[in-house]
Amino acid sequence: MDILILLLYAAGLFFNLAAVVGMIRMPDLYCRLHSSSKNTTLGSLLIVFGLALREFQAGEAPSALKVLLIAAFLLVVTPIGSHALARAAYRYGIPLWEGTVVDQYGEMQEQ
Amino acid sequence: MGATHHDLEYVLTFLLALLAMPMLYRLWRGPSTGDRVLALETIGVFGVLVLLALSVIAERTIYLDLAVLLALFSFLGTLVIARYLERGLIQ
Repeated sequence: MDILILLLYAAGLFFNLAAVVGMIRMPDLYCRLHSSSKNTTLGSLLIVFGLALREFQAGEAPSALKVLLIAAFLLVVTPIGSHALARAAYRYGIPLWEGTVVDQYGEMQEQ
Repeated sequence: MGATHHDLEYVLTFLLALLAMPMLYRLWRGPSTGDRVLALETIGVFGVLVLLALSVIAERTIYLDLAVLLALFSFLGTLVIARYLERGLIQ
């Protein structure tokens, strides 16, 4: 059980580290959104599952259920926030990176 | 509250707090408001995880409620700022 929890923590920290590296290194806001939202969602879900297993191991099943409820909340909330932010930034006119090859939202707006 | 069987959670808390530091750089430097909001949202998620780990370490259930509140208000703040940004009410 401890090994499983350690693996969950390590995988979650790896994905969160990938999100942070992407936030620092990526060239524009949309690439940063791409790296941050997906990696943060998966990484935090793995860590929260590990913490729920730890609570369950300690014999506190209600707390484990609450932690899993927070996991479900994070799973719903993070993509919604990123989507709203990307849409608002595009409408506001934050420029795309000059190396961008496809812009389907803009093409759809022109039609 | 034993320090012996929660070593993993201590390390996890420390590493998560360490991961939030580059987000402070993005918050300070970010070229647009969207970058700053995104950095704040990421810091909020890390804060939620730190609170959950602290609740496991200290064996206190009240930190779970704090984590729920932090996640909720971080999400609401992102939505509100995105809405103002979309209407062009803030720079």
